[in-house]
Amino acid sequence: MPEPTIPGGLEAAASAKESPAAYDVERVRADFPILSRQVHGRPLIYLDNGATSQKPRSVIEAEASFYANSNANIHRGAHGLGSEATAAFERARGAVERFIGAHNGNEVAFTRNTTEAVNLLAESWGRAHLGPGDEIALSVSEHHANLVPWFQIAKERGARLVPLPLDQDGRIDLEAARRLVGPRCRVLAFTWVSNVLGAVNPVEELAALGRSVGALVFVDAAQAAPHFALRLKERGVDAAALSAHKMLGPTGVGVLWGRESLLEGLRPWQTGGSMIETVDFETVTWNRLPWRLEAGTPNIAGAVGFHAALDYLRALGWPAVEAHERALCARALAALRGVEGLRLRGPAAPEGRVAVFSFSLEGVDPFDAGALLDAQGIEVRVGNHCAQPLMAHLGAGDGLIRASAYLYNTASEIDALAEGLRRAVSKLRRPTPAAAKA
Amino acid sequence: MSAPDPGALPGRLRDMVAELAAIPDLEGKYDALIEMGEELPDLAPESRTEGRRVRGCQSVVHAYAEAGPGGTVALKGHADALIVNGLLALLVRGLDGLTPEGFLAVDPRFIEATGVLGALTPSRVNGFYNIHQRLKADVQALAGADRSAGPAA
Repeated sequence: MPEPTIPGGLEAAASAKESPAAYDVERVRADFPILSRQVHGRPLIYLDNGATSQKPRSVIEAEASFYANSNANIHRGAHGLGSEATAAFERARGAVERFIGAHNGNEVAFTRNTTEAVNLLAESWGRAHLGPGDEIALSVSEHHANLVPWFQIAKERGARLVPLPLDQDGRIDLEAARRLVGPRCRVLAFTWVSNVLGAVNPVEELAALGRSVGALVFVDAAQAAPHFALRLKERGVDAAALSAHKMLGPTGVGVLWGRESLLEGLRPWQTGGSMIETVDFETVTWNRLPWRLEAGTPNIAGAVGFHAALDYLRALGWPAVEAHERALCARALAALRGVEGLRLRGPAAPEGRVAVFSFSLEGVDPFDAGALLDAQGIEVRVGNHCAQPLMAHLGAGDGLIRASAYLYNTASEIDALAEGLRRAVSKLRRPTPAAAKA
Repeated sequence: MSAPDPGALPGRLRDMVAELAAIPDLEGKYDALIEMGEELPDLAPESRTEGRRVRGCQSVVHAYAEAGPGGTVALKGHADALIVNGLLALLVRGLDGLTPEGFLAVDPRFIEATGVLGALTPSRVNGFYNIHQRLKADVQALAGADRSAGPAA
């Protein structure tokens, strides 16, 4: 069967690949239909990319085209359509392997999302390998997705969680980690990029630390994969997880990557169709990797859409995307400094961070600020960002406002955010007790 | 069941709802809500008791009802967040001074007619209904006390 072409939407990508300087954000934006809509009568300024990214036309069309032309269940069925669908799904797996820098065809299992990938690993590895007194080291800045599954398995197995503190910029404090990760540590699980602070953690140093004590090293790459090349097999980690929807792909598709020797030893977590080789009432034998980790019919169309997303990102090229996002970072850090009463959490410099900015506004309820930004068409997230231990660490119990930019955001949108915040502050600031007394 | 007819609301509430509904843009509606909240009398610190705290709100909200003159209900409240304070003002100012029966006859889904509901986060929408529930519990208690104090039939 001929390789399906990825429909449309790659023209901007093609030009950007030639040189980072050729990155034309307006051409990129033209590939994203949603970016031309309005909200509350104002042009949409979408700055909630940490929650989910928008989708280029090529992804939307690839998913729709699968349903329109190739839909069938996979890995079964003695018919041509089934073979076509299976080939499309497995091509998507191959594209993921190449994109994240995995080794071969047995290291990528599709899941629903990062959360499911962490649950899979924690449940199947943890149940077999963790026991009383064992330690699981996690950073204070973990998203609940990389905390609660470990909490659960630790509780069940009598293991304990060891929180790793952060340095002043919000990165995992390596010196402290070296003191806290000891011989009882069986798992070192940490986020590569904080979904709140935007801080990029020193993945290779942490992986070396974990390996030095014989711990399983897992990295939550959900907020890293959208922004730079993972090159996983070079990083020294054993396993990683990511979500398609944060990197231009559809919702409902995630990835657990693991070294083959690790995945080979995993007891299947979810069981049922597709993941078996033989079944009778006495014995069940498992299918080979990676299918044994994918019980039931997966999100086939979603995987095909994810393939299109990876093609889109690959065509743009990381140098161009990273240069654009670095410029957005510098712009945002300068612009946010100009908002009175704004207190940024996380790295103050554009290096070693991605364009995710969380902050409070003195004397302003963050949800009020979010509502007033929304009324101006500026979509940000407000709350605890699924990271309650981090919020407690930051003393941000009321929640933080988070603006998270991506490859289609523009400098003028960053300026509009700062202007929108100034407008919100002027309407919303209550006098602080000290000011009221004065 | 559908939302109540705004025209059938008690007078002051009807005017407040009509004022919000007439503002075409969301930012303007928020501005008006914030102003409505600012017109509420402040709640003394000693009135902000744990028992009057409205549960299920992200910000700190207190609301309560007490007996007003002539068998009416007197409503009081305060929210730290300004937009929530405006939503609270719709209830506290809009329904203050009614009889308990008058209060209980108002369906809180009148908020739908203001045009702000669709823009609010689900937790803020719930917060609004929680404030109403908190006031309603006090009003029902007042109505019960009133009946039990009344002449035997």
